[in-house]
Amino acid sequence: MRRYLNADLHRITLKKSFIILMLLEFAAAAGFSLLSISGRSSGYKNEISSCILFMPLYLGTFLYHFVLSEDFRAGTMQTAIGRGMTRPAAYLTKFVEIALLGAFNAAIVCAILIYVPALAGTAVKITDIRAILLPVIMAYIRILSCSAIGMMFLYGGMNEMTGFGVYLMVSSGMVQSFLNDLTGRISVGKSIGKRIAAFTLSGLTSSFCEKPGGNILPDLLRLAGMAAYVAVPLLIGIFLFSKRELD
Amino acid sequence: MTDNDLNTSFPQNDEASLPDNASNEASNASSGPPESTADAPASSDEGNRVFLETPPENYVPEETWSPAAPGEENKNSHTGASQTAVSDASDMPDTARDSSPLDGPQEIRPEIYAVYADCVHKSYGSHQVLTGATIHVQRGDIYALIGQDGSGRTTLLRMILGLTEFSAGNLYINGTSDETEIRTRRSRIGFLLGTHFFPELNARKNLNYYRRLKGVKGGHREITRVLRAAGLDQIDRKCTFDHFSEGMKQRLGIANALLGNPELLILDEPFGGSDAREKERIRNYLTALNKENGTTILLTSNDLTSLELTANRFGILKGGKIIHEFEKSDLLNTRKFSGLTVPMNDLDKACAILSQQGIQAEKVNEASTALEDYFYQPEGGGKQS
Repeated sequence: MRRYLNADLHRITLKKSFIILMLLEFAAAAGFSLLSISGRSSGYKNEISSCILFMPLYLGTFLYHFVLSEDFRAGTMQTAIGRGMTRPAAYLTKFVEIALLGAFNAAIVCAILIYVPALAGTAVKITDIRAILLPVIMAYIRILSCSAIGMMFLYGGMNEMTGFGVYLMVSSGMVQSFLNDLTGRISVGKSIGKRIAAFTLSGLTSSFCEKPGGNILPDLLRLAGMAAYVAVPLLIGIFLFSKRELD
Repeated sequence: MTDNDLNTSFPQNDEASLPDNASNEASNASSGPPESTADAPASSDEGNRVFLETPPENYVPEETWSPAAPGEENKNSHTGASQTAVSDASDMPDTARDSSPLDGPQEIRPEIYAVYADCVHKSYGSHQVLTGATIHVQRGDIYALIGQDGSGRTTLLRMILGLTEFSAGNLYINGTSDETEIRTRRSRIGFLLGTHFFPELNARKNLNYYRRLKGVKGGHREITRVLRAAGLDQIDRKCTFDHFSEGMKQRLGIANALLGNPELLILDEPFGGSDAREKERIRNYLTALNKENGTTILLTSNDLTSLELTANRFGILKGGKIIHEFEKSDLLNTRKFSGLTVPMNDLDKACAILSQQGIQAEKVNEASTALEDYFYQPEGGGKQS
């Protein structure tokens, strides 16, 4: 696992397109931060929330491309498994790569959102820092979950396009919107729909951000729910992948 | 010759640059009439030679021996010699049948084999690919797995590498069937199964990636060694994988398989996309690697001529089973003709002398095709700047 991680991280982090995209992402975050500082009635943390909301889509998409799609096409898993690595270990390595690169990117974005206003002469309050950190962490969890779901389709079906399509649909909130729309249309399902919405990943993360530290038990349940959104697709993916032929 | 010699002095499209003994061994390993004429690129004075095929004393007329199934006859393009692939175990000579571990109640000792797959089955839905295939690859063998397209050769190789699960049967690698042990031993296997690399990286960067993944030490020196072995060391560093020809991709696959001096090499179609001279170079390299390092090689290809010239043991996969395993010497015993190369001008004279001795020349063929002679002559079509 360590060798596979080492080889992949070395390859990805030295890739020009990866570096350029990362720099663009940081520049966009800095720009967004600067534009959100001045003259907005809703406050800095609310202004930047839309930037954070789309993190799973823009950050996750390019992580998915570099970590999963390129590797899938190059058939590196075949080499890893052919050299004696277990399938679950190979599968988990890919997930760990996304987790590491995602955490690195999220940390930088966080730092930018906190320090850019200070550099511009507007210090961010401590309460605002918490209000920035929490959504970024939630966005990071969504990236992990969406990636796990995408991987499930990618390696479970051994189809790159299916995996990427599913990732896009989940990370963009398309699935959530579709479910909301569907449940909203059925009169009897409205109340059920609202409950379902509360238990979707977006529902869990947003309710965690809105009411953090209120009651420990609901927070823990929400965290457990988020963990399940990551762990369950991972486990299903590992199970499906263990049965797959590797061409 | 040391491992190092093998690593550093490997051929550059020219057999003359082979280490002496490697070159000799390569040619010794491929004995028999065809390679004496077909193997070496014909020199200009060989162009007017012809190859006479004469039937041996115990020659049986063609109508009476069991013909190969359509598609199983391999016409040697260089010699015109007909090498009939064995379509069934019954076509093989007794000596060959006796030598097969499949026949007779012999005690199988898995520990002597680099790879021993025992009665493995594999099916995709209702389509049965392998129906009890048993393969014995001894340490130090160059084992050629022969079969028609779709016979399950690649599936069997994938099973050995753990990329495909088998429905039933046992697999032993270096004498063990324990899954954890097998995984450990797979770390000493180099393999070529298709050519998937990162398209935007050059050969060196691609190999560096796989070197890290495999945990092979030696850095750029190791990469240079395998690139040289594959004949890719002169390639422009700016040339990325997506600009490679099919032959170059295949050779990069071989270079990747060679990383870290594996004990067992598994090669699927190593000659694919390569021209005649490259094929010859790959054959010579594999033979020398086997002789010098003792590397066990399991390979499969549709190029039966190259397989015959490279391997010392063969297994025929048909109907989902290995129907026969035999040694190269057994194969040579089945040859119904032997050849004699004479200058073109002396052809009539040679035929007359043979006729006087009661020997009928069965066929008269050119030793190698005129086009190949012309292409590989330095002053001919093969003239390269």
